[in-house]
Amino acid sequence: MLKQAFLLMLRNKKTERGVMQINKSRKHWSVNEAAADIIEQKLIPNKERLNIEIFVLKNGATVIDMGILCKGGFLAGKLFTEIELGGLGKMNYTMVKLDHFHVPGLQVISDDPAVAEMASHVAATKVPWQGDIQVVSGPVRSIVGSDVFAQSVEYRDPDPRKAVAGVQTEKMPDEELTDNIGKICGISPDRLYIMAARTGCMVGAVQVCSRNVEQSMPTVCDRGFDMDQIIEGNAVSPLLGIVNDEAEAGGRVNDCLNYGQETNLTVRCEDEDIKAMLDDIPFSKNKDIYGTPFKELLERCHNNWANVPRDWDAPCRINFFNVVSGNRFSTGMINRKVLEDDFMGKGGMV
Amino acid sequence: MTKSEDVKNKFSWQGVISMLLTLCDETADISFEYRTVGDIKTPAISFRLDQPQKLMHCVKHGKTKSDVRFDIWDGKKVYFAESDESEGDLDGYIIRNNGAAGITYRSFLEMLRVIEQFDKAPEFVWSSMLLAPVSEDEKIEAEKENILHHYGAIHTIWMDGLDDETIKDTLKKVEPCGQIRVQNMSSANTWIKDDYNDNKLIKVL
Repeated sequence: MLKQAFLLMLRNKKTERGVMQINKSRKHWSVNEAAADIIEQKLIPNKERLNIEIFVLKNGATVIDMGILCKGGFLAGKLFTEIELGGLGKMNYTMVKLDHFHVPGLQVISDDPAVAEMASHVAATKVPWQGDIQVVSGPVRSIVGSDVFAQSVEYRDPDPRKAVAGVQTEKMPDEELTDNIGKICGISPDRLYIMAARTGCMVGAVQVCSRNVEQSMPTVCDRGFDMDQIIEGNAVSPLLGIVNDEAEAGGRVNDCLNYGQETNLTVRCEDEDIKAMLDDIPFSKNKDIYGTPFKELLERCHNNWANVPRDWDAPCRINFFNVVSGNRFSTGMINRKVLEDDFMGKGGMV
Repeated sequence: MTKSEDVKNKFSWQGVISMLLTLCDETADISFEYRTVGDIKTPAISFRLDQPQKLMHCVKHGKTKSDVRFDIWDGKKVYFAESDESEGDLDGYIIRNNGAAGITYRSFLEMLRVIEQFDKAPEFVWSSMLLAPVSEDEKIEAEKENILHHYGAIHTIWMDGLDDETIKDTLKKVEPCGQIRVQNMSSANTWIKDDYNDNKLIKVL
C-alpha cells in the first residue's frame, strides 16, 4: 500500500522533471539562443583556430562551413554537437576498447534529453533543396515543431533572437536552402545560423557519431514511450570513418551507431513499459542483415537515406535505469568485428 | 609574467592543461583519462591536435645565465626549476623536472617527437599517453617515463594526400613509440606499427 502510494506520488511528480523543470526553474530556456551564444562566443571569434569559415548570404543567413571546403577538427566537432544540443548537453572525447584496439570515441551527456535531443539535436526536418530533400537538425526545429519528433515533446522555442540549424551535406548552403528552412521552421533567414559539414571529414564524423542518444530516443518514441519519462541520457560511440570518400565515411559512421553505440537512459515509468518494447528496439533485431556493414546496406538502398527502412536506423544497445523500481533493462549488443574492420579498412600491421 | 605550475605544489596536476593549451595556441583538445594496465587503473592524458603543422619543430631549447634550462614555444617559455625563488626573474611558466606538470609536459613533447618524424604534417593527431608516477629520484622517474612512452603510448594520426606505400615506408622508419596507427584519409586504410606491452608496463608501475 505504501509502495503504491509512493509510486503514485512519483508518477504525479513526473512533469516536474524534463520540460516542466526547464520552464519552471529557468522560466524559458531558449535552445536557439543558447546555441547562438556558443556560436558567437566560441565559434566566430576562434574561426582560424577551429579551421572553419563563416560568410553571410544575400538573404542575411550566416553560413558556417565546418567541413565542406574547410578542414574543421576535434574542437569544431565538439562545438557542432554542443550547439545542436541547445546548451543542454556536453560532448567529450574518450578512447573506446574493442577486441584488439583502443579506438577513438566520444561521449554525450544530456540532462534534459526530451528537449536537447527531440526538440533540438535530432536530424528530422525535411527541407526541399535543389530538387532533392535536405534533412535539417538543430534548435531551429523547436520554433514551431517542424517535424514529427520535435512535435513529440511540448517544448517550443518561439521567437528567438537567432536560430541555429545544422546540415550534413557536400554542397554549400545557399539562399534557396536557408529561405526554405526559414519558411518551414518559422524564422526569417537573416536570423539564421546554419552549420554545415560533409560526412567525410572530422566534424562530419564527430557530429554523426555523437548522434547516439539522438538515435535511441526517436526509436523509443516510435514505440509509444513518453519522452518526458526520460530524465537523463548519456552514451558512448566509437569515432571511426574520418575518411575522404563520402560513401565509405557514411557507412562507417552509421556502423559506429548501429554496431557500436551504447546509450544509458534514466527513466521514470513502470518496468512493464520498458519490457514491452525491449526486443523491438536494437539494430540486432534485424537478423537478416545484422553484421552487414552499413555501406553495403546503403548501396542496397541506392545510396539514398530516404529508402532506408526505419528499423535500420536503430541503436546498437540501450540500458534503461528505472528510478522507480531500481531495475536495469538492457537490449542489443556491440559488434566489435564490424567496428574493427571499419577501423582497419584494408590496412594492416607494418 | 611568471606562472609557476607546480613548484609551489609540486605534485599538482592543476594548471598543466591550461599551460599546454596556451603553448599550442588553443588548437588542441586535451583531457585526463585512465587506461587499465594489467589490473592497474593508470592515469593518462589525451592530446588531440587540430593544427599539428604549427607545432612540428616549433620548440627550441636553451639555458639562462644561471643555468636554468628552458623551452621556448613561439615566444612562450617553459623553465625547469626546482624552486620558485627565482620566479621573479623568469618570464614564463616554471615547472619542476620531476613533478606532475613536468611529466605531463614531457608526454606532450614525446607526441611532438613522434609526429616530427613524418615528412608531411598530419591532418590531425590523437595521442593517448600514460603518465608515469612521480618520483623524487629523477633517474627512476625518467626510466619509468621512458618505458611508458615506448610501450604504453597510443598515437592515432590522420594523413591525407599520400598513398599507402608512402605511409608504410614512413612508419617503418619511426622510432619506437608505443603503438602508432596512421589512418590514411585518402585510401580509408589504417596502418599500424608496434603495440603496447602490458608486461613491460606493469614492471615499472
